[in-house]
Formats: sequence, structure tokens, C-alpha cells
Amino acid sequence: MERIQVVVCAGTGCTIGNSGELIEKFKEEIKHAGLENEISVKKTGCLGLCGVGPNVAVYPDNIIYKTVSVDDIKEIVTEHFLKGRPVQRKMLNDVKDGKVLDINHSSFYAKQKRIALNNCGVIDPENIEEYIAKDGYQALAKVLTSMSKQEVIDEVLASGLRGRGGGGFPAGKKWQFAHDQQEKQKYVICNADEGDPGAFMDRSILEGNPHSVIEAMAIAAYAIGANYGYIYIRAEYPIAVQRLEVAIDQAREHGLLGDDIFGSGFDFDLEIRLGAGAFVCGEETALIRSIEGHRGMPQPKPPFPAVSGVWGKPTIINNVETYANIAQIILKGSAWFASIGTPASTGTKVFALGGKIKNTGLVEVPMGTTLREVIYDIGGGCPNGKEFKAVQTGGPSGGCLTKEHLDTPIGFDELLSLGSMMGSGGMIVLDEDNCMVDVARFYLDFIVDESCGKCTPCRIGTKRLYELLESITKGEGTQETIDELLNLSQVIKDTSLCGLGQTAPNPVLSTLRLFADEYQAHIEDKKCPAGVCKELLSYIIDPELCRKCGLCAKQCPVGAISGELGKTAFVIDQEKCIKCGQCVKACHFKAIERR
Amino acid sequence: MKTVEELNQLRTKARNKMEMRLDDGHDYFVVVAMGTAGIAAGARNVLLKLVEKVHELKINALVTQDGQIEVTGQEPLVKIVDSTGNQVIYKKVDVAMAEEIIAKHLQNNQVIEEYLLQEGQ
Repeated sequence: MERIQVVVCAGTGCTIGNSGELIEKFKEEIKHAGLENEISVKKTGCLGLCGVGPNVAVYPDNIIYKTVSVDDIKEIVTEHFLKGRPVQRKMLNDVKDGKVLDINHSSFYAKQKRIALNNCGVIDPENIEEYIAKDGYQALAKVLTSMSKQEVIDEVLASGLRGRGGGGFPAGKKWQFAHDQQEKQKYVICNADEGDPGAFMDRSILEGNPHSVIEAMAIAAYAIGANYGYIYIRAEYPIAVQRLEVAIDQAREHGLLGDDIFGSGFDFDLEIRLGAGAFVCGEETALIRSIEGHRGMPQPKPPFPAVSGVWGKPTIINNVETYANIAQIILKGSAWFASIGTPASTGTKVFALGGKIKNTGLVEVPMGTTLREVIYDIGGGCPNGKEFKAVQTGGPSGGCLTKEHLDTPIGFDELLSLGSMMGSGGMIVLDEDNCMVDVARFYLDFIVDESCGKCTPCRIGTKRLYELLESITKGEGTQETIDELLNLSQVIKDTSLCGLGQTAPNPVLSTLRLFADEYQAHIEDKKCPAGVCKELLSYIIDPELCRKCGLCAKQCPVGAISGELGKTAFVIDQEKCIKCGQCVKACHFKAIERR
Repeated sequence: MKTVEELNQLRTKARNKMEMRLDDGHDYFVVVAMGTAGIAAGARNVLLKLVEKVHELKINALVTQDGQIEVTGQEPLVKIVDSTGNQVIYKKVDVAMAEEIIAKHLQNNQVIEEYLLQEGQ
């Protein structure tokens, strides 16, 4: 009789951390201990704390082991599974007064609420029965057997669910527009072209709970009167694509996709369309062009996709995370969903925490949670005692928030009013070692690469923006450069064709507004306060502190350091120095200063 | 799938296989002390019997294990915690007693006083 179930994260992060081999090793050790009839091992989706993966959850104890390696498994099996003594040094659970806390009360999870990520890290994503055991496809059954199309739309409208892909447009309104179109053929699309640097919640949902998206797409199709769907996903998410394929096959086998689902007369099927990973294809009109087999370039709106979308037919496009909320809204009711979060931003939001933060990974919190709670209580703050400087939200279309904004409740409108945006939920934490001019330059670099080139302001304007920023980081900037940045940013915002270009200057404008002093330091003092911009840096050896050991000179790759061993203090030739920083690492006496 | 009944049947069947991963509350937590002394005294067979019976009789209880929970000479020990947090510890439990504990305590909420570990034992 089974008494323990071990689920090993098989998301992208943990797979890279060798979680596949862990499953085999667990099975081997469990067999070796003679426990094979008592313990089963399965794979599952993202548990959240990707930074310390591979993660392994043990039920029914509700213990998560972190950074598990093949060598730890024997100990876990004999100590925990056989003798009932969880291996504390590997546990993610907090231990308080010698007692192991339930994982849901441990600091990383205590403030989280999992709706979109529900079932991720609990069920085996490649087994439809486990999804069904957790009330999977019950929402579809309810919709098809007891609700009219309008009732479904009203329920989604009442829930206040807003699009999780970036814009925050009410999902129910989109559905209503498409529903009101008098065309016979309509389509539903799932936008899984997740492109913001550092955001990976959509991938994790598809890897951990693909059926939730399939079920929601069927519900959306029923509501608007469509019977075919596309999931547009980038080919660089191979695990998510494979899990989706398995899920779609299983759903078809069980008659949950196909003709006459639940005997209701409703037919629905869908297919996967692979994208090549262009950022612009996350823009809905470009995505539609790509599905149709054209080059992914945006189209002027209107007409909106709800009127004329893929193949010229009414189409709704929702993001993966938006869909992942639908089944639970139908099952638990719009009032339940609307009671979570804030009145204007209901429900929860998944954030991908990255950058200078202790707990890197996926967190899902109710809207209205403050940035401080997310970054400090859940994320653990900046590592190595460094000082928090800013958090970048919304990816290349977003902006920065600083210390003063830490107590802002997170919501679509709150972030917009501070000059940033929700975006798809990437949160890159920056500390005192990050140069804000360099951060803006990084995002512009990304945009220049990803601009599709269709409209001039975005194609040429962003390139010019990038060059202006680069000149500042090289110490060539003047006051005119700043004026030009502001002017050009406004023109790009006003004249670009699609959202990509219209929001591209945001990182520049946001950092200019919040960190004007850093820009000034670059152009006036020709200094980079954070010590990032190489051209503005110099490494100086303090002759008082130098012990004349010559270790720095040995490490210098360009022979820029000279001095006489044991006799004279060493000196760096600023002409030759390439500012690699190797000498600082080599010096045992902290005699080399970076300024 | 043509009917909702089919879906519900599959759900019931599938839930049996993953009870411990569902978020429903449990009426009882049954904890078997599996330290070295416990195992030596036969705690493993007790644990397996409890797991089997709880499943067979569809009792809403969760059977887990722990290391040594008390320093006694009275192993195997079985701790039962109810949903309000009240707990009792049974001492020197064997397989037959395990079945009796299930029948009386878990099914009828009757504590078997004579098997209890007393204070200071």
C-alpha cells in the first residue's frame, strides 16, 4: 500500500539541474531499501523556488527538499522514508523551535496564494487523471451542461479578471466583443509567446498544468461561439511544447477535445503553432500574422482581432496565465475571485523574481500585496547585504520602482501611475551595484534586436536611443544628449505602430525620471556611481596599502601593472588597463580601489 | 467523454491514487514513531498495517511517520492527533492493536485508555 509520494520538479530550471536523473535514482534507492510498494516517484511542474532547484516535494509530509543532488538521495530514502526523520539540512521548510513547519507556513510560501499556479508542483502534468482528480474539466462540464454563452461571459466579466499578458484589458470584455460578432467561424488563441527577459510564468504553467489552459480555451470557445483554437508557443520552450502535445492527445482520447463534448453538441479542437521566438509576436496582430504563415509583423488596429483576427475571422487572444484562472472562476464563482486582490485588480498575479534577490523563482500573490512583501518577505531581499536600489517591472515595456515605492500595493493601475507597468510579471531586482543608465541601455539593446522593422520610429528611433545611451555610458554624453533622449522618446511613443515601439522608451524615461543624478554623474563628472560602465572606471592601487607582493601583476591579462617585487608599490598603467577587475580579486589586502 | 457522470467516475477513481496530494482536511493524523528503537520493536509492520487499513476502510486520516517522538522503552509508539489538535500516544503497539485502534479510535472516536502511554513512562 502506498504511503509516500515523491514528486520531483521536471520544469525547465530543475531539468537543467538534472532532475531527470533524480527520479531514476530515487526509484533505485527506494527499491534497494525494499520500499518500492510503499513509495511512488513522479514528475511534476514548478514548485516555485527555481533558484535552489532541483526541488523535490514529499507527500503526505508536505516537505520540499531543495538543491537535491544524486548523492543526497540515499540519505533521504533511509533517513526520511524509512526512519521518519526528514533531512533538515536539505529542507526548504522553515524549522521553528525544533519543529518542522508545514511548507505552506514557511516564509517563501506563507504570503503566496496559488490560483494560476494551482496544481503546478502537485500533479503529474503528463497524466490527465491527476488533473481530473483535482476537479479538472469540471468547469468545462458545468459550462457545457448548465450555462448559456452569455452566462459564461457574465461570470468572467463579474470576476474582474484582467489580461495577464501585459495590458490588463478585462478578459470578459474581449469575450463579449467576439461573442457579439455575427460570423459563423470564430477562433480562440492562447498567447504563450512569453518574451520579457526574466519572465517564465507562462512556461511554468504549461509545463506544470497544461490541461488548465486547454480546458479554459474550450470554455472560451464555447462562450464566443468558436470551435477551433491555436496555442502559439515559442519553439524555445521544448518541455512545455512536449507536455502540451501529451495533454492534447490525452484530452482527445478522453473525448474532452473533439466532437460533441459531454453530449452537448459543442465541438472543439486545437493545435499548437510554434513561434521562432520573436518578441514582437507576443503582440496580438503580429501573432495572428505568424499563425497564418506570414512574417510576424503587427497590423494597424482597428480592426481589432475580436472583429477580424486569424483568417479574417473574429478571434480572442488571451495569455496563458489569464486562461489558467478561468476554470476556477467558473467552479468557485466570480464573487470568490473578485474577493481576492483589490477592486480594480482582482485575483492573484504570478511574478518571476530575478536579479539581485535571494529567492529566485516564481511567486503568486494576491493583487494588492506590496512590493516590500514580495521582495523582502517572500524574496528574501538582496543577497550579500547589498542595498536595494530598484525593481524593474514589466520588462522592456515597463519601468523601475524605487525604495519609495516599496509600500505600493501591486495592481495594474497602481504600477501604471508610477510610470511602470505590470507587464507579464517579470520582476528584476537591482541593487547598489547596478548602473541605471546601463540597465536602460540593456533594455534598449533588447528592443533594437527585437524591433520588427516595419515602422520607422521603432526601427530607427530605438537604435538612435540605444546609441545615445551608449554614448552616456562611455562618458561622451552632454546635457544635449539628455534633451535628445527625452525628445526622441516622446516621438517614438507617439508614432510607433504597435505596443512594442510605443512602450520601448519606457525604461529610458523611467530611469531618467527616477535616477537623474546617475545620468548627471555620467555626463558631468564622467563617473559611473555603481562602477559598471567600464569606460568611466579606473582601478587605482593605494601605495600605502600595497604589500608589493605582485599578485595583481601576475593576474593582469594585459600586463598593465608594474612594480618591483618587495621594493616599490605596484602601479596600474591606465592607458593599458582594460578594467577587467582581475587585480581586485587577486589582491589579498584590499589595496586596489575601483572608482 | 459524453456525460458528466463519466468524468465524475474517473475523478473518484483517480482521487484514490493521490489522496495524500489533495488539499482536503483530515479528521486524524496518525504518526508512527520510526526511530531505531521503534523499527527494532516492529514499528514498520504497524505502519504498514495502519496505511493499509486506513485506505481499505476509506477513513479520512493521514498516516505519516516521525523519528523518535518520546524517550521511553515502550516502542512502537503511535501518536494520534485529531483535527482540533488533541493528541494521544499509544504504546507498545503491535499489528493486532493497530487494527483495534483503527476500529475503536479512528472509526468510533473511542480512545483506548489501557494502551495509552502514561505521563512519566
